[in-house]
Amino acid sequence: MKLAVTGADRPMGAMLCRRLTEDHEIFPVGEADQPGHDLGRAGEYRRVDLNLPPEAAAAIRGAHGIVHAQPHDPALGEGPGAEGSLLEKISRGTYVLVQAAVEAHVGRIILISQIRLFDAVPEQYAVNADWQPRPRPEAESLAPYLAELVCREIARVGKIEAVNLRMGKLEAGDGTSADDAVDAVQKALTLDMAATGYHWHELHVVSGGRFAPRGGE
Amino acid sequence: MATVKRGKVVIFGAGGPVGAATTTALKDHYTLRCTDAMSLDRVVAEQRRQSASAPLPELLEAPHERAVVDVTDYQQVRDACEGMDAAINLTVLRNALDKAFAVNTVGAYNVAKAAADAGLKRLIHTGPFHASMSHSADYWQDHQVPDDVPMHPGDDLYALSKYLGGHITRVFAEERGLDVLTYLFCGFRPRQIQPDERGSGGSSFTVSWEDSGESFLYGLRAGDMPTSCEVFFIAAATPDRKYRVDKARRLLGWEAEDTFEELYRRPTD
Repeated sequence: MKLAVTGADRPMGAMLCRRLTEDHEIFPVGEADQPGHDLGRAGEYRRVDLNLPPEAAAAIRGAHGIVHAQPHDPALGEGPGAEGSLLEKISRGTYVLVQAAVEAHVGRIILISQIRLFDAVPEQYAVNADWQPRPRPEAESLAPYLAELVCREIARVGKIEAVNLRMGKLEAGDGTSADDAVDAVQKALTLDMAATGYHWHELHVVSGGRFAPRGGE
Repeated sequence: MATVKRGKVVIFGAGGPVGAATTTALKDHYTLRCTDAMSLDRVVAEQRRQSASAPLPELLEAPHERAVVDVTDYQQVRDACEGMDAAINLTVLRNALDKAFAVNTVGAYNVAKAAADAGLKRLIHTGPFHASMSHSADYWQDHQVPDDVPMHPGDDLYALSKYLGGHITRVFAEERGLDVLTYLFCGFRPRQIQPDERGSGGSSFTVSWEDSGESFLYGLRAGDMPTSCEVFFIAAATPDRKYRVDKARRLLGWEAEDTFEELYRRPTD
């Protein structure tokens, strides 16, 4: 399958580019001039401003699916407007990307979001993907949540299928291992959405710590 | 206590028609700081009405203030909140991709953050309730739709970018203790009904400009709410019963004076 992977200039996106090339043809997409990470045998890195429809359309041309990893760990810039810039980049960028995908008849988008959206839930609870996210009132925390809402609402009206995978920090003890992340994306690409009756599906993909599944789950 | 019975109120988006109606309703009760991205003097001088029947803002004299504030700039918003008791966010940009998320989403973040940082007692946030979105997940075919129903904006740029702003504002209310009332609007019309309009029917989610302004006076004066973020339909009670409007009456003490009965009744002559 030909896959466009956003956030290729960030740790999670770069790892997915590198590992998914074993089974797929990868189009790495990022906002930095250079990826700054090893992308393995992935295709040519494309620097793209996802806020701009022509650039987003060009970035996904030829792709059968999209792995939108940018919202997982976006870089917060510096300066007084950094928080606003981050929120606009992720909300508008996700909107433009999904619209481009719909226009190009891309059937499915895999969103890589953040398990930290549940940090505010008291530790005694066993949280699963049905729970309401509780982002902090800060741009870095809100950004992946806004990406989720954009994908969910466009998927809800049947324009595209979207799978939301909430992951922790890559390879951190309470985060998500590369193996688990890749495995989850592979399964999300082939998930029988028609059988669920919905165009939106959510899963938590965490390898250790309080959000990891208990034995037998 | 979040009630704001007197004091200073900053209005963002005061140059639009709801801002104009709100300014008129509040000017004798509060000291207002009326702000917009465009100078209000210019809005009036150039007669920038949203529609033929939409009101223009009054240019109030001191002690009221007016200022140009771009809600996409946090520091400008924070400065505008300084010394205020409450804020009203009426800013909106509907159909331009390059500004919609900046104003409707980032602007909501900036206003909520500034209101929380400045210790304001209450923020009244506003947004649209799109009655008909032309998809199966809207509520167009339902009746007695309540104020708190989750919105489903689909891929509509205006609806979706404001929807995100509403969620951001809710998060600030829940996590920072900011007292937020969110007003949802759909249609507006003049108070006056023309003779040829009688019996012609009306929108099921509409309010007069005048009543829309008055609703903010009630919102500021209302007592403590059941939760830190309460959503209200600001609409007249219409006989079709598509939308419930009793929550505003119960919690704010407000109901629309103009119910446009003549639009719905069969003309007698």
